Amino acid sequence: MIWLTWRQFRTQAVIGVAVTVAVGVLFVATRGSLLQLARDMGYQGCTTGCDELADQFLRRISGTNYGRLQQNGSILMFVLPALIGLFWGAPLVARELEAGTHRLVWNQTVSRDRWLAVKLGLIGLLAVAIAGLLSWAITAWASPIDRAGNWLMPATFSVRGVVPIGYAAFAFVAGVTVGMLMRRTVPAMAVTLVVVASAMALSILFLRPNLAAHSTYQGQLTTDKVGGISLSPSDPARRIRVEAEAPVRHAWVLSNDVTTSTGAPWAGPYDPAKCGPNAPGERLGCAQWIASQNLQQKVIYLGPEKFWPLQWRELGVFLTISALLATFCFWWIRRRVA
Amino acid sequence: MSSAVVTEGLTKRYGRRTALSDCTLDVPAGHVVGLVGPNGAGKSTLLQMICGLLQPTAGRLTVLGGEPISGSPRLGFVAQDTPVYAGLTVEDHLRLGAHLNPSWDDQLAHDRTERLDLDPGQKAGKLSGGQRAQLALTLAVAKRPDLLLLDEPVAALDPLARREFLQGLMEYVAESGTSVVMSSHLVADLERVCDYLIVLVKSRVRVTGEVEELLASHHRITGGRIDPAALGPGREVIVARHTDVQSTLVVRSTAPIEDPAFTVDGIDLEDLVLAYMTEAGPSGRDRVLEKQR
Amino acid sequence: MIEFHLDARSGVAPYMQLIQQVRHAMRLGLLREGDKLPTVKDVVATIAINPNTVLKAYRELEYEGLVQPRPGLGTFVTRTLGGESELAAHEPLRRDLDGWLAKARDAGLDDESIEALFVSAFRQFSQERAGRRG
Repeated sequence: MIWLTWRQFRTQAVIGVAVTVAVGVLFVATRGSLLQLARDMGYQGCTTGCDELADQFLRRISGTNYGRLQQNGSILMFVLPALIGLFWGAPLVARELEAGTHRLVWNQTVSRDRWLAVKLGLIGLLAVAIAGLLSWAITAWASPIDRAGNWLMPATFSVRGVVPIGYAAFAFVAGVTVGMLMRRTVPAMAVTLVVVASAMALSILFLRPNLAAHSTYQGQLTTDKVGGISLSPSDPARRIRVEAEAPVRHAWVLSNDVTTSTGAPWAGPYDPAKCGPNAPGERLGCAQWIASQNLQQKVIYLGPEKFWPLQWRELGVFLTISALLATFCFWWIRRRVA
Repeated sequence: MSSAVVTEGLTKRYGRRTALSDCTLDVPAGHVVGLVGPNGAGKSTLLQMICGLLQPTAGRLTVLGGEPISGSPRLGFVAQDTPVYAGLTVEDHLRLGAHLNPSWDDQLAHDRTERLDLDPGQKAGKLSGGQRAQLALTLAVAKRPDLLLLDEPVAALDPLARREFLQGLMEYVAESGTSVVMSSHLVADLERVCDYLIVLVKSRVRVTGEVEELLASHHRITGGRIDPAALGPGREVIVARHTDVQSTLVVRSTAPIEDPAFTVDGIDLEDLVLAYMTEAGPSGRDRVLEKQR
Repeated sequence: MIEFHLDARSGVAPYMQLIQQVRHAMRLGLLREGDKLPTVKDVVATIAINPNTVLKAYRELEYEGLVQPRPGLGTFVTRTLGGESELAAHEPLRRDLDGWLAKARDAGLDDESIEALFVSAFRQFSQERAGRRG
């Protein structure tokens, strides 16, 4: 059974490993020079004024090859689970059912359990290994950038650390399940894509925020805590929206309320003499005026120290879901399929 | 004589569609059994239940004295349209068989492919229909099964390929004594090779028995116009055709019919099957089934 | 070694056809005492028929004393038929036949009708003998 799995899968495996090695080598090779740059700019190993140096470093990076490498690396890790689900997961059972070869192979002296177990196990292991290796290479490479920036932001978090392993495992098993239920390869690929994308999105929206205890900050809204200001000059009601900043740099803000001292949400009206295109003081002037309005801020956030706990827990959830799906696959294939 | 397959009230339903209805069979071992009936009669369903690919909805099924298992070492199966892995070569398929079957006879497998002129390096997707069927048969027999199941193996083959397939199959049966159950909707081929017959029409078993015994006990009677019920006891009328002056009946009777009023003829296997297929048709259906000659 | 063929349309049972072909070959001198008949496996590999059919034919031939199986070696012919001597032993039958032919000619039957009459009677006779009503 191991021979058969290899023989049927070997082209895919070789391509996967080759891409992994090529990408991995690329990132590992350029890591040294990126670190050197960070050191040269004074950010790496800084003791004072690190925030400023960090921002400078990030500005320096963007637009260069490092910036492009970082972007492409993120894109690759983003689509990797979907690719695995579509090309390795969905066809696994669907193609056999579509071509009728299940009637050939299941009449050899092999139980369906063993057939599925070896295929799921070997290919799943390879998928997870590839996701893990690539994620490790890119996360290690990007560590100066991530520390300088906000690595809790959903787009970054999902492509770093260990969660891509969870996504890859889930996408693979989900693909196998969908293929087994739908019995047709191409429609199964389409449905798998939807399932994987939805799972990753739903995780960001509903799962991840609840995997760790939230931090809450409540207090007077001061000038330095005024973050984004948005208003429309032509608005007769003169509504204004203020985003307060978290007390901690590089946090993932989950909710953000600016209220009056009585607790009611505050939305203006703004003073056109202080805020807006005609105001003389620009942003700072507007911020100071806002601060003078005696407002309260309530920010619910997760601090950057929560990165690894969130990573491991999200990985755990996805691995558990994958295990449950796999169990379902074994049950279904024994009972329902012909 | 032990039984290869025993069923009791075996039924398979898909929602509202009934594929197999209340089948009771006792298929003896050591025979080449022909499973014959029109398309959609339930032949594939029965074969797939025997090899464990499908689960029955109701009834009992015993295969080689035990429960049907999916992936049994004692059963060989060649599915309809003889599926093979298009991307794998002939040699790959044999290695597949060797890896997945402890009872694999590699010598037999390679002897067969050599004699059939199958190029080991040829991708299975590029083989002709006849060659694919031979490859599938090789895979099934080289594991040395006690029971070989073939689902319409020659339906899509040209006459030469059909003949070669049957030759190879009979040769294997001669040397191994394996039981074979072979389904077809073409009766002419079965007549040469089968010694036991099961006729399946519209999901029901119509008649089963040793071919010799069936041929000896069925007769075609021609004579003046007669009411079939008037034939007397011990004679079962399978199908009857009447003109205003003449009646032609196919009758099953263990005792010979020696009535001077009738001309009594023997009947060949094809006409026997056609008679049972007609019997199963809806009333008023025209007996237009042509002989497959 | 002789080779068998099967006429699927002849109405004669397959095993009977094999027996007839063996006897015919023996009468023609193609099979003599000590010659080996093809194995069951070889027969079915040439004409795709059920091996039991061949076994039945060989058993019947053994019963008639024409062949003898030798375990591990095959089935061998035990007599020689045919040739002038065989037919000569049936001289009385030959004379009866000549007489019948003369009578048929006198009755006005042409060659084809004589042959048809003989074949039809012979067929019926054979089938009755083989246990099937025809």
